[in-house]
Amino acid sequence: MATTPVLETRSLTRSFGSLLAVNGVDFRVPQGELCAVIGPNGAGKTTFFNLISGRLEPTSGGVFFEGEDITGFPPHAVVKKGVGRSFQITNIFPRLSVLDNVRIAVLARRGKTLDMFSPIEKHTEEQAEALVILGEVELEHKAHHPTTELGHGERRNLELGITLALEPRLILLDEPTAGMSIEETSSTIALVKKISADKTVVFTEHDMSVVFSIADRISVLHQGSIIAEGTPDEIRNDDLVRLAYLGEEV
Amino acid sequence: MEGSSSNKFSLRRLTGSVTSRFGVTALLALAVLAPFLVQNDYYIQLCTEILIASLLAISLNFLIGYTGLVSLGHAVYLGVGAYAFALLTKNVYPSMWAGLIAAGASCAILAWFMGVFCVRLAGLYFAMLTLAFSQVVYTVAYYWRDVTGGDDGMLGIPKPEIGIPGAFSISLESFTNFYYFVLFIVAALIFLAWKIANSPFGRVLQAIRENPERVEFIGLPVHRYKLYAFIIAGTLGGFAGGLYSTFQGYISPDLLYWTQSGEIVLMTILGGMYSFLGPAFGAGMLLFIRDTVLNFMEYWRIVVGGILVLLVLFLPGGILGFFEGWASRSSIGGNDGDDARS
Ligand SMILES: Nc1ncnc2c1ncn2[C@@H]1O[C@H](COP(=O)(O)OP(=O)(O)OP(=O)(O)O)[C@@H](O)[C@H]1O
Ligand SMILES: [Mg+2]
Repeated sequence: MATTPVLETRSLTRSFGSLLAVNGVDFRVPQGELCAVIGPNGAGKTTFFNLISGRLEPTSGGVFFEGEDITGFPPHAVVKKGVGRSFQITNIFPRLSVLDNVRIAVLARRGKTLDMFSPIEKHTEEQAEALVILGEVELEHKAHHPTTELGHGERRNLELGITLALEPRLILLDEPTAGMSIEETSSTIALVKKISADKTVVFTEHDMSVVFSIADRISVLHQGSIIAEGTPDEIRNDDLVRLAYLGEEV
Repeated sequence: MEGSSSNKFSLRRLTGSVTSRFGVTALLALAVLAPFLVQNDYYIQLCTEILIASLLAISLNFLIGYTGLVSLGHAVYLGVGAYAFALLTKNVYPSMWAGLIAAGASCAILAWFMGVFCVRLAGLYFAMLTLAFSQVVYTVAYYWRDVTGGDDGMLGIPKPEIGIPGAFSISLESFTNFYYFVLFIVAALIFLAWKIANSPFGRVLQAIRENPERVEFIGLPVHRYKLYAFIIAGTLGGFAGGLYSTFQGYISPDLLYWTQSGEIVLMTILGGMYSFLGPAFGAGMLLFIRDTVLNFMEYWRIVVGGILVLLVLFLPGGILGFFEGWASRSSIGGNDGDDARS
């Protein structure tokens, strides 16, 4: 209890009409942890991320980042604090080049986006940094292509690259491997593992073998509430979880 | 494989920037030589008007093509810039520079004020609010007789000479001199707009056009960037209004009417909103068609409308947009590199 968690939510709640999509969630992520949030479709995982990242305002409850109350902050302010996220449904800049998709995020982080008079190409440091990130997500060779020439898996990687370019201290990844092939999934998961070496990561994922192999800790969301939390072993042996969600999968 | 594809691309970038630099140089040369080529006061005036309309259309395209905000009230800057120039040069002090600065500054302030409300909206709501604001200003200009002359407008707007007092001065009364003056101002402002469009800030505007939500999630307050774009577009439009005022010598509230806004949108779409110079090209075409068709029939808008229908159906990128796309597909060049288009 001595150190403040990187992320903490207190009785976080969000309703849509009569539906309680997220219901009184108390959640803590300590520094450096790789934490998975799992749950069946419609459990509230994306809504939970939306509440943390400022895309949605909570009905009640609070969000704390490194001890600071960020409840109700607009998304850009949450990002400036050091929280980055990626989206389950790919959310990129379609008619910009692959390089520009990432470069714009690097320029934003470095506070260069109000520069109106120097050509964007002259910002060579930011360009080099963007290319390094594209290398990490295996898109360097497509840097100068329009995103319309990317395949689905590549677009997912670009989505991830934009988020990494922000160098967030806390990264929320909403199903980074959604719709990927088996090979793409394994290389993306290896990347997530690598990122988590020096950052705090919270991710959602439907592939249980992936979740159980890389997560330090797992939280199970069911109908908006966390019904179990623990190490992969603890979750695997939790009767409630087996009943509610895992079924025969594990 | 990887090496060859990036090589090919850098080659394309190189040739692309060379061809576009060549294109711009050729265009500028054409503009400089135009008075000698046409040798006719009437056409020199038409060319002058086309230059002013080009600036106006390019300024609007900052919103439409770059930021993805379709404004239906851009004539407000043409009008307010024109009135500001007229009021200052007639009532305060007859100076070309002071008049133009008044035109730009008044529109910067107006755009700031309107922008605070408009940038919170998107799509149709944004379009409607810009239209509404411009109609309010139109109504003010129409009824505030003491200042604006009401529906009679204002006459006798001067073309003050330029130069350094005591040293030298250049009269702008001749059509050719005035043409070169306008060319100088318009070229300088379009160059400025081009610098902004290719800066990090300009790329953020394009990103907002593509996906405003994701721009928020890279940590940028989208409203503020939209507001800056709105002010830049309005200020440039105001300079065009000031130039128009001294060019025509008389102005009326019609400049502010919503059909005038529609015409600027037409120029932009006609020439191509995803290419930087496209709107200027559209401005030239629209005014040229107006002048030639008006000679033998009154309903020149039918011709423009017909062309527009064909364009939207067959060349949705506009005319210059089409040629640029064609140039970058064939091996002679591409667009300026990173600005990928579908
Ligand atoms: N904007 C919204 N308006 C109304 N209902 C919503 C909204 N967003 C989510 N919901 C509802 O809230 C519940 C939780 O949805 P959410 O997208 O958070 O689930 P999820 O766990 O991310 O599911 P999946 O695994 O399919 O991504 C669902 O019943 C969904 O229909
Ligand atoms: Mg989801």
